[in-house]
Amino acid sequence: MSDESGCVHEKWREDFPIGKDADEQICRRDFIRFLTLVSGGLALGNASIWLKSLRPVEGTFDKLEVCKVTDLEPGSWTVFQYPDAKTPSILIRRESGEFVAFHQKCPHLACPVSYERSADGRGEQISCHCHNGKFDINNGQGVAGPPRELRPLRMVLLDIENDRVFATGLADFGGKS
Amino acid sequence: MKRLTASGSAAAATARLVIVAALCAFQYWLLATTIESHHAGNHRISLFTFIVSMICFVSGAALVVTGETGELATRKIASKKEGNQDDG
Repeated sequence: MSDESGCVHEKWREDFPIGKDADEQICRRDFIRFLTLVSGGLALGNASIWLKSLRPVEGTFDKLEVCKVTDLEPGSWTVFQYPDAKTPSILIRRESGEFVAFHQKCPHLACPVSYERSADGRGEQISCHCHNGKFDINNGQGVAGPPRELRPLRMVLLDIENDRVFATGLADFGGKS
Repeated sequence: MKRLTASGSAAAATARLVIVAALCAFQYWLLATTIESHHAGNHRISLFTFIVSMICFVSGAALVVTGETGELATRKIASKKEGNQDDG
């Protein structure tokens, strides 16, 4: 209820006009109601994930020319967008000359990953410099740091035609096409 | 229904708060796990985690409603008794 100046009063304050700091504290009842609201929100979050999973699975992917074979020397890499402009991917030409490609987003906290030679100089790996995560270059599986316990990098399927490298689709998370 | 003393009511309210807070923490973990699985392409667990999360929410809400209903009833009985004593 409001007074003449338009300020809103709680009725009980009129009966107890002497204020105390404890009046402004949140009581258990209000806090537990708030927690119940939070619980409802979390349940709704799970509901939205379930509803999202009901949508049809990814369809076919467009074929995208990434670069020419001669553009990349063995032991080098480049970045491209696939399957859409919002998804950065990394194309690596290994020391052996083989091409592999993965999504560039680290599954830990979405930092961009890059190709590097391993510390002993004998192997190759994909590395995330944010939290020192390492990935197996053969299948994108996390092998060190936080990505060890998370999903692998998603592999981009490649095709080489007429000395050109094409991205043709995405592998399943098991690395299978 | 047996009436709680003031300290008993306070203890019951605290216990309800702790249980609901624990349920919230569990639901938060459940949601994080579901999102991670969804990003990894595993959609099998999303229905199961949704059902479990709803059960947690309904349990917490039922606990809160039961507690508040009980407190309301206790206060009504107490104010009735005071009214009878004043008349007497």
